[in-house]
Amino acid sequence: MCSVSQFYSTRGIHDIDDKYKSRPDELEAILPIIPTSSLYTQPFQVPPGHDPATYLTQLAAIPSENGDNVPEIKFDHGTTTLAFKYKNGVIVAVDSRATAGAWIASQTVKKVIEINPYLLGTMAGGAADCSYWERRLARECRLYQLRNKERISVAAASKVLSNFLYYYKGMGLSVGTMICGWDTKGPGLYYVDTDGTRMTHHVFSVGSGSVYAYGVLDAGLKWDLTDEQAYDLGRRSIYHATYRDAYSGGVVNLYHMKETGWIKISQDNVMDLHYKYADEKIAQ
Amino acid sequence: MECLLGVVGKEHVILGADRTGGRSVLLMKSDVEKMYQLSPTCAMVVAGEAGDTTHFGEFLKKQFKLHSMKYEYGLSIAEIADYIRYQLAKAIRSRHPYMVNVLVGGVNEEGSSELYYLDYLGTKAKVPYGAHGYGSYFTLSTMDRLHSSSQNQDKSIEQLHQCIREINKRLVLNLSSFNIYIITKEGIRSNVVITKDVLLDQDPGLPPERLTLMEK
Repeated sequence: MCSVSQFYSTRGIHDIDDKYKSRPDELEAILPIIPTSSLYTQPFQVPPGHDPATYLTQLAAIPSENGDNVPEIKFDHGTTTLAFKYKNGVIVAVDSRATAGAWIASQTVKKVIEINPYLLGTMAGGAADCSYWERRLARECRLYQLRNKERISVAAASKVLSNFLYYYKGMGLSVGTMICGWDTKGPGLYYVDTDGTRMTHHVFSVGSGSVYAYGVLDAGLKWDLTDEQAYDLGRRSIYHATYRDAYSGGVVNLYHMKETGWIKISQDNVMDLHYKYADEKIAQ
Repeated sequence: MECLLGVVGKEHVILGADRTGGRSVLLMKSDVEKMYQLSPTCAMVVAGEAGDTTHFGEFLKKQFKLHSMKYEYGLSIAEIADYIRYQLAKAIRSRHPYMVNVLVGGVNEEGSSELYYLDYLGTKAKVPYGAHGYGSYFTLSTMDRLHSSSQNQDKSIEQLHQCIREINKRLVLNLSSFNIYIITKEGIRSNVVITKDVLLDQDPGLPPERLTLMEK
């Protein structure tokens, strides 16, 4: 078995971070070289993370209370998302901030996942978990459509996702999503999370800013809202949540689910909204 | 945070379940259905860990449905409760326990009514009345005082109302809305009980001078 540095000189691997090249001992810890039989003179090198449990333990910065090294990869935990039904369909509004601890990792995250023209999913919790599992959901929905020659109902789609997540319950997934759509029964709105919870209601808000969003949303929600009133309510609820919740911010993305499928209504920077609303208040 | 109630009377059982649903301190829904019908004359109410409750409920509902399709004879309430206990006991010894507490009630073919108290550890007890959750602290004594196993349906319903009122009077949590299920050999009826304004300052036991103070 040759050493890691020899391995580099003979094979010339380019795609591995430079810092590891200068410190082969560290690389050895992360990239274990699998022992080979006498048949093979060259060792077989595998990418990092081929053994996820060991690899993730190395990433753990702080040992948890019970002593074991559980990796703390927390991403996009702070969020505000909301969706509500009214006479003309479902309104979906979300912020766009991604945080990792106190660090604002991005202000331009697309937290509305366009599953297909008749289904939207929102993103709260782990960004990767949400996008991956809603992609899996998109696949299942497409297969359903091909097999049955009709679109999947919102109830069934949300149950497919809920079953995925319940299967992995307690294994570290973090997803809090609202599945919004339109099917033969009309507008549909379901809340699904990694506990395995799945419920339908006419209004939901998810994420760390949800409590603030509910405060504005509950006060202004009526079934008979006009489209413009509904858009304004969704936008304002997210804006007020971003004002109070440090983990929410960026822009407000607003979607409207109609009988003909979803349309994107607007994207507004919360700072612009802040001054717009402030001016409106003065004008009153 | 949830509350389940159950009372056995003459040829009937009454189950009650609050209708709250949410995450931690946030109430997301106030019309949650926590009852699962297991046979024409048997039902269970489930409370506990989010996700486990619905999956456990739906799993059992389908197991009993499958049984009824495979065999001509139905199961007694005792057999149903035994099977549920078996599933809970199996789960607690596995890597994926069902963290759920259950009340199972029903009426047998010959008319006898039974209530079973089951918890996530696999405890099973046949009881004349029972409760799960914080509500049990306030209501078990109420039922100790009022219950008799030969009581008629109206008496049982009134007793459950009394329990729900007590919960709303003394428990900090907001459990104002309950579903109650009346199980007889004819089947299962349900209705909603909404309690409002059960406030300590409107207690009929208040001294008269305090009452007049409140009226002002």
